[in-house]
Amino acid sequence: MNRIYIKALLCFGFVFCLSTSKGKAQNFTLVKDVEAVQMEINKVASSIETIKSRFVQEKHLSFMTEAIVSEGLFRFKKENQLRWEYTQPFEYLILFNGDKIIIKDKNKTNQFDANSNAVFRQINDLMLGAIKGDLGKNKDFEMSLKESAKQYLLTLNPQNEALKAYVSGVEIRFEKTDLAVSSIKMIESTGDFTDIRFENREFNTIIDESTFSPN
Amino acid sequence: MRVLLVLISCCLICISCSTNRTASKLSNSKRVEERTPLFKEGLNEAVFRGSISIYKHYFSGIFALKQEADNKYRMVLMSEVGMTLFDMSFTLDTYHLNYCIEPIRKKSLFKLMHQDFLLLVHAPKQEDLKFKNEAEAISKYQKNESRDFYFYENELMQKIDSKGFFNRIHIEFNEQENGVSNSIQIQHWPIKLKMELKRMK
Repeated sequence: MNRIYIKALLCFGFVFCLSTSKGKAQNFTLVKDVEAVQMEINKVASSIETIKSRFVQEKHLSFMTEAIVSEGLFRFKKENQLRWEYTQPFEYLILFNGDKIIIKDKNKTNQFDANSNAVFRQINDLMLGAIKGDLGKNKDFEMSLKESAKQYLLTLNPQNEALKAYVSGVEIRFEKTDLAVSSIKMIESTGDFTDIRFENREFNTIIDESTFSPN
Repeated sequence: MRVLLVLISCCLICISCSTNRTASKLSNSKRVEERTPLFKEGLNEAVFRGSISIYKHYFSGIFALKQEADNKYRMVLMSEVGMTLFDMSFTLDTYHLNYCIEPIRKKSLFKLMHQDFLLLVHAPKQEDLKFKNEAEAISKYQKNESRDFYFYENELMQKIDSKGFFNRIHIEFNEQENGVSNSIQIQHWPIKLKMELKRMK
């Protein structure tokens, strides 16, 4: 069952990096000069050392009348440290620190090696890539870039079968004002999807190393 | 011959009276609600934060459960971060996996889950219950033609004991408020499977 944790974390990764909302996408048009926009995004991403943010996660299930909403605090520190701290409606913590993944809830703390699963490795790379701005280099996904007046929308479609089993598409939105990730949406093969919005984002503030340890 | 007929008639009357006395002892003296404390009044869906431990393995997630039609239900377990782990539709007789990630695609696990969630969603009719014990504050009933025992307090279901030959299931509906349970515990013996559900909505 430990594998379940790893698979569950895939979602986390996906959620962080993928999404596709046809409704919203209708307002977007294809970007003509993709390379130029990508360079801009990469430039901004490479200047970001830390991110502090609140996040709101919505899980939409086709058969339920309302989305299942949870929220918490997100922390990122270069090169590869992430903290997802769920605060509502329950407490739950996921830490990525190098190759280590730590999950903590009220009852248990579990630690995994990110390299122990090839698919997970891909997801982890993708997730960090989104933050560090080198998404265009990821060969596991087919990419398209669209824009509206306020946002860029990066759509990723997995190319290998192992990834397709977990996700059919991912959307990452970047605000044009700061070119940083503002939301991520992961669509599953069933059509159900998870949307994560980042709010009150702060860049390059000081984040203590202890933030990325479970104690 | 006449004497014999009188004797037979007396015997039949005695047997008949005796049967009536037994039936009276087994009839239910209390009314109970014919629903489990699962869905809030007026709602046909519920969401729980849940944890499952099976032998040495432990994982947690979110259960979304909906009654889609009479005796037709759908349940999804997802990780806290939103990834669907499995999506199952079930009726009283059968279940169907709409989606399941490979590591937990185990027929035996879903057979157990189907049993558990049937007990959670499907309350017996009053007329199907045989009264077993009224001495305690919590009354005990047995469902006809089964080894399922139901415990009620103030007409509300509190516990279920399902005593199968190879598997026993114990369910507790704790922290009840306005007729719904906010904390549900499901435990199996001798299979070391335990589920804990805390209501989110």
